Amino acid sequence: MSTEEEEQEQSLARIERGGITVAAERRLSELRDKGGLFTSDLTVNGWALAHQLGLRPLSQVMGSSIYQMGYQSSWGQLEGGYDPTGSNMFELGTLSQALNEVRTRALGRLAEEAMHVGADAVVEVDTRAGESSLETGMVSLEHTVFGTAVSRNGSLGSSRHTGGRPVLTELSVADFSKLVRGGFEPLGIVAWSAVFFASYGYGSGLGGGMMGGGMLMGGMQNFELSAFTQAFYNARESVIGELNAQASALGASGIVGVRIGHRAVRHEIQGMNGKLGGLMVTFNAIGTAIRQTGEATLYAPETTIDLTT
Amino acid sequence: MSEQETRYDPTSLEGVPEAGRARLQQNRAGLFTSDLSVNEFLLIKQAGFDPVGLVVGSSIYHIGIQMAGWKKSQELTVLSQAMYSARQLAMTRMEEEADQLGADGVVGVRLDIGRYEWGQDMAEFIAIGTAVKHRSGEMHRAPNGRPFTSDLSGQDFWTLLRTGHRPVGMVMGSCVYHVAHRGMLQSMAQTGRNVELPNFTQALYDARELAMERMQTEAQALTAEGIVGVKLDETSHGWGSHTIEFFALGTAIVPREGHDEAIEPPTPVLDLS
Repeated sequence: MSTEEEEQEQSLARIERGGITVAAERRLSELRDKGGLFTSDLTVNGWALAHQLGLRPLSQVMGSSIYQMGYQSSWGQLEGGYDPTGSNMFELGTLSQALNEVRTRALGRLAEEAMHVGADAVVEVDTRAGESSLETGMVSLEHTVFGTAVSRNGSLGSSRHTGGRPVLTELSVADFSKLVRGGFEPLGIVAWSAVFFASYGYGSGLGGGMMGGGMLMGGMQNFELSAFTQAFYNARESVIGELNAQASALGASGIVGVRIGHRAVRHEIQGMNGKLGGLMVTFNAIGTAIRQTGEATLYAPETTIDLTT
Repeated sequence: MSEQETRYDPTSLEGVPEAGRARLQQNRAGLFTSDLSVNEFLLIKQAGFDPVGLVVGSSIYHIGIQMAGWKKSQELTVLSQAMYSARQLAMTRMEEEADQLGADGVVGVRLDIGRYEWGQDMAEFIAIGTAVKHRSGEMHRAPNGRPFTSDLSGQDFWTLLRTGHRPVGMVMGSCVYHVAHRGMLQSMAQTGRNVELPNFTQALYDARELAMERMQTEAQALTAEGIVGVKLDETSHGWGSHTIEFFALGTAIVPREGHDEAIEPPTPVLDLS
């Protein structure tokens, strides 16, 4: 086996354990030990502000995971038993787990790269996530995060937070600078995803099929599709609850810069009485946990009027 | 990838038609053309530069064919090489044109890669930017004597100069990579389960390492301090489903001699319009 092939084997084994490849680790460690030119995703404005703030960019860092999503049936999901007359709702655990696992792996790799390069934080973390069918028949999730690893030059309070892991944040350098000047510091990214499913049923007023129940009962009236609304609420609670738990574990006083995504699509899963049709609700949220470090000094902005438009 | 350096000839007018030569004459005589916005124009003036002309370099390139082993993860060197050569041709032609105008550098460079239905194995590279010249003749060229290039806007150019740095050149890293297919048995054993696809993840990492390393090598050749404004793209320029391309493009910067300044702490403002 050539050294190149050996390295590829080693890298594959590391990836299966959730790590990064040999070559990436080598390049970043060399950069830390010997120094060298920095690479960054920062815009010129971001770079100038970082300069002004005492943040030194070290390297562009990446975390990526490509993940195969498993199948999910409704078997074993209905704790109270299947209700043939009403709408059935439950979390699609396999799908939720896949979304959370792929993101956790990508962010974990980003943090690992930042550790190797000796960074205190990673700023402007940018997520590119998508679904594709890379291998026929199965849904693959691709989750890639990019950011710029920076060292704080000891100028901005404590360096890494407890545990020695670099602090990840989606905040731009401008937002980072405003927070720090205002007496706060970021602690890390908090994120969660949940997928819930609500089946069509008499209660939902849709898709009564041959029995026509839904149509008979609701065809001409205005009414809320309460089961679907409920699915949204459940997904939301599950996600925000987890976000809160993650933030308190970090000792945060709050979460800022939260991005929320949700979507609802028609979905069919294998149920006990054949196919079960319904609505699949995906809810996800990501944000940055922050902590107050000093006195909150909030600068009153000057007002200006833009004359260009 | 830089070993196949394109020959640089500052007097070359390759590809420029008769009418274009007349235009370059006009530009040299003092009339400038540019694709700058009014704000960009004023900021570049304020920074001590004058625009001298719009410069363009283009290359339409035929991309060869490379077969990859079904079960092997590897770089598709023919494709990577094509992306490099074509881009270098376009950039060099643009630099030569800027040199004709006696410019110090080119700002606001847009490097576009077009692929068309009419030619699946062809790619069009085009580089467009505005050539600028320093008013008091301060040397601003890249260490290799060519005009500097940068994809920074006029605003970014101004801010960068104010921090005591200047651009030296656009640097690129690119890699086209083939992802191994999983064995049939492995695929079947993992059907329906939540699992990471390590061959894809590893391939993306490899492609990225190669691309980043190449970008760094280019920046080192320019004796840069670092690279800002990197645009990362992870696409498959129509290469097919098991092929990925990692593309990074940024501007290498160096400190300006005798300009050791830092910007003022910014004042927060609230726009009321």
